[in-house]
Amino acid sequence: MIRKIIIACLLTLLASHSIWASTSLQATVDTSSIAGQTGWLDFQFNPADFNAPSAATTITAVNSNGTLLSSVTASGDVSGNLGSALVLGNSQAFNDWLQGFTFGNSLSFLFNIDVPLTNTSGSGTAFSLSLYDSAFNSLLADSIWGAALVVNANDNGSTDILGQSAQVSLSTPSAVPEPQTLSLFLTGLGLLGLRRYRKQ
Amino acid sequence: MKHRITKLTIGLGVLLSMQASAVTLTFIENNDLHAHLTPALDKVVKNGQVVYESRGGLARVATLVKQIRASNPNSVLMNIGDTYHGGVEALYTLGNAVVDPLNALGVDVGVPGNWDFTYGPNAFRLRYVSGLSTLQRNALQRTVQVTIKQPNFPNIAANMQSTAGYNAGTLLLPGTYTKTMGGVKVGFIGLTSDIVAQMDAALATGFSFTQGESAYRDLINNQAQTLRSQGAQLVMVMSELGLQKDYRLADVINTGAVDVFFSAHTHDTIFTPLKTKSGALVVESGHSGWLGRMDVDFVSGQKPVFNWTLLAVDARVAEDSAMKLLVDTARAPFLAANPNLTVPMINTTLKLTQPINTVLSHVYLPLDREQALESTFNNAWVDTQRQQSATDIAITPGFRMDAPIPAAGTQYEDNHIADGAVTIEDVYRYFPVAYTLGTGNVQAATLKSIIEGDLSSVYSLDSFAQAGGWASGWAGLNISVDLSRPDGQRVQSIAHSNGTPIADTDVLSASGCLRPNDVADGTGTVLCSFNGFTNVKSLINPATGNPWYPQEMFSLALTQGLLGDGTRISVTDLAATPAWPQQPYVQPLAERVTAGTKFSKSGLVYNAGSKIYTGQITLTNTGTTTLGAPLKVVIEGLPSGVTVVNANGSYYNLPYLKLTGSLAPGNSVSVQVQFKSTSGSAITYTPTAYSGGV
Repeated sequence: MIRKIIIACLLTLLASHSIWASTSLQATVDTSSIAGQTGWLDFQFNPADFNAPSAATTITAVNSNGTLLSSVTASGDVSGNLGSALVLGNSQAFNDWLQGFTFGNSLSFLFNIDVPLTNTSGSGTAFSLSLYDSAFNSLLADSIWGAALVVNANDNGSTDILGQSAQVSLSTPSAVPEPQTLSLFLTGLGLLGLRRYRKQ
Repeated sequence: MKHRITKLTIGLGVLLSMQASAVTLTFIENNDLHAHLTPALDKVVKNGQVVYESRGGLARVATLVKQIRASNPNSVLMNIGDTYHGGVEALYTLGNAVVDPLNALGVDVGVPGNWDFTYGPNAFRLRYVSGLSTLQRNALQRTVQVTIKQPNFPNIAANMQSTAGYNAGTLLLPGTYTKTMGGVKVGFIGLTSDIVAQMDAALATGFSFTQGESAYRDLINNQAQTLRSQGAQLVMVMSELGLQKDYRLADVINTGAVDVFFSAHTHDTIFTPLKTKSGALVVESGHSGWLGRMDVDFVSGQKPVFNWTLLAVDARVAEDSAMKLLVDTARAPFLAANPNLTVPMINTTLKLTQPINTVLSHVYLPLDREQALESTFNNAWVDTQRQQSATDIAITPGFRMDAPIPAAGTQYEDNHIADGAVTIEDVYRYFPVAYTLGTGNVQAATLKSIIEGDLSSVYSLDSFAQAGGWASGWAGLNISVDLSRPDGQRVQSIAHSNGTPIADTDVLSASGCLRPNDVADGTGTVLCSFNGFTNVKSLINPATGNPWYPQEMFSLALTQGLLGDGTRISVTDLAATPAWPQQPYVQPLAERVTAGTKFSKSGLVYNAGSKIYTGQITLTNTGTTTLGAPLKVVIEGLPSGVTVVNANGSYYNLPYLKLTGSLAPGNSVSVQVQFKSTSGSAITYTPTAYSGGV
C-alpha cells in the first residue's frame, strides 16, 4: 500500500510538472542612491510574440520606505495592484503597470512566474522592472536592457535572468507548494484512495 | 469474379503506366572551361587539407561524359560560362583552338561567359549567331583577323538584346532551349554575363544586358511560365551571372518556377546543392577541374528527386584517345619549335616566339589566385610591375583565372615533388588577355575610393552590387580593411608599404593595365579599368619599342630572377573574415541555414524613455556540423513601421545582427535585438540564420 502511494505521489508530481512550472524570486533593489527622487516604477510582462505560451506573473509583498503614488497607468493584461497583489498576464503584446513612486532607500517584492512546460514555440515572455525619474530617464538600469531587472520565462518552463543591474539582488524565497501543484497532488492522492476503496 | 478481374486489370494498368513514366534524367554541367584544353595543377581540399592535384583536360572530360551517357542515355550536356578564352592557344586564335575539341564533346546547349566577349563584339556575333546571312557574316568577318569557328551546339541568352545589326531590337541569341528525354520535356533558360560593359564598354557595342534583381526575377518567372505552358516538366536555368546572384534570384522568383540553377562564372565548387526559398536548387561545378552531374528521378505527377555529384576531372580518369588527338592537333602550332605567332587583334603586337612548354624559371614560393582578397600571384606580379615601372604603387585586376604553381620542393599527389617550373603557357593562364601596361597618377583620396568600390564589387552583401572577379592586387600599399562593414565603409586606412602615412591630398604614381581602347597618350584618365587617374600613358617595352605587355614583363622577371615574394600580406582584414578553404566559397557567400537550428526569442522590454523595445534572440545549433563564421541573424517579417535600431547592417534590405564566432553542435549564442515602432502595431518577427559571407 505504501509503495503504491509513493508511486502515485511521484506520478502526480510528474503530471503536475508537465503542465506548469513556477518560479518564485524575491527581488531587492538598493535605491539609496536615488532616495527622495520622484519618478516611476514600471512592471512589464511582454511576450516575444503571440506564439508565446500563456503565462502570468504575480507581484506581492511590495515593501519599501519609499512611497507609492496614486498616478497609475495599466496597459494590457493587468489586474490587481501593488498594494496587495499585481497580476500581469501575457495575452496582449504590451502588459504594463506604471506607477508613480518616491524612492526610498530600498524596494523589495516577491514575484512568481507561472508558465506552461509543453510549448515548443521558441517564444518566451519577459518580466521586467524599470525605474525612471520623472522625465522617464532610466535609473539603476542594466546597460543593455535599460531596465533594472529582466527575467525571461522560456517556453520550456525555465526562466533566465537576462538583465540585472548592480543594485538589484535576487533570492529564492522559502519553498511553498504552488496552489496548482498542491491541488493536483491532493487530487492524485484522492483518486488513489478512491481506487483503493472501490477495490475493497 | 468478373468485377475482380476488371479491378485487377485496371490496377495493373495503373502500375504499368506508373513504371512507364518513371525515368532518370542526367544533367551534366561543364562550366568555365577557360580554354584549358589540357590538365593543369589545381588546389583542392582533401581531408580538410589544401593539396595540389592534376585537374581538367578535355580528354578526361570526354571520358567522363561518355561514361555518363553510357550509364544513362537520357543525358544532356551543358557548357556554361567562359569557354573560348583563358589560355595561350585561345588568345592566339581568338578562341578557335577550343572549338574542334569542344564540338567533339557533344554539347547539347551552351551559355556564353563574360570572357567570351573579349575578342570583340563582331567576333562574338561570328562565333555565336547561327542565323547570319552570308552578307552579314562576310561584313563582320572583314573586321576580324581570323575566320571565327562556331560551336556546333546552340547557345542561349535570355538576358542579352541586340541593339544594332543582326536581330536588332530583340534577343541576339535564343533565350531558351528545350529537349525531351525519356518522354520528359525539359526547358532551359540561358543567362549570360551582364558585366560585359563594365569590363570594357567597347566589348558590349551593339548589345544590352538585363540589369538588376527585379528585372531578372521577372525575366526568369516569365520564361519559366512560358516553357511550362509549352509542356516543360522541368525548368533549368543555365547562368553565367555567378553563384551569388543566382542564389539570390532563386530566393525571389516564384515558388516552383525553376527546378535547378546551374551556375557558372564564380568557379565555386558546390558539393551540396544550395536550397532556396523558391524551392530551386543552386549548384556550380567549380571550373575546368570538375564536372557536375545532376540525376533527376522523375515520375509523372510526383515531385522529382534530385541527386547532385561533383566529379573530379583528375588523374584517375583515363584520357579519351579521340579527344586527346583533337586537343594535340589544336595545340601543335603552339608547341612547334618556332611558333612566331602574333595575337590576331587590331593594334596588338604581342608575339609568341617560343614553344609554350618553354620553362622560363622555377619558383620557390607558390603562385596562385586562390584567394579573393590578396593572392600570391597578384602580389608577386604587382611588385614586379612596380619595380619595372618605378611607380609608387601598382595595380592588377582581380582575375579569377590561374593554374596554381606550387613552390619547388612541394610534394603533391602520388608523391610527386614539384620543381616550381613556370612555363610560357602558365604565364598566359594568368594573363590570357591582350592588355598592355601603362602609368598614371592618382590622388590618395581617389585611390581610397577606388579601393572601396573594388571591395564592394567583391564583398557586397547585395550580389547585384557585385561585379567582375575578385579584389584587385596592389603593390606599394599597406591596406587595412574591415570586410564586415557595409559597402563604402570597408577601407580603414591606407599607407605606403614602408608604413609611411598617406594623406588624402598626396598624389601617387601608379602602374597598371590598359585595355585596348583606353586612352594612353598621356591624357588618359583610366588605369586598370578604374576612373580618376591623370596623365595615363603607355609603358613602353625597351626591348620592342612597343607598349609593354604583362606577359612580356612577367616573363622577363622570371628569366632574370626578379620575381617578388607573393606570400607577403599587405591587406589586413580587421574582421578576420574566414577565407577559402575555411569557408567554402572563394568569394564569400552568406548561406541561409535551413536545418539543424532552433531559435528562441525572449519577451520584449519597453523603455519608456528611449521608446525602444529590447529582446534577446538565442540561436542553438541542433545539428551535427559547426555553423561557420561569420554568423548573422536576419530579421524577417517585421510589420510596417517597425525598425531594428541596433542592426549591424542590411541583407537585401532586411536588418541583421552579427553573432560572434562559429557555433558548434549543441551550443547556443545570444544577441540583443532592439526595435522602434512608429505604427503602434505589435512587434512580430522571424529570425533567420545565415552562415558565411562577410
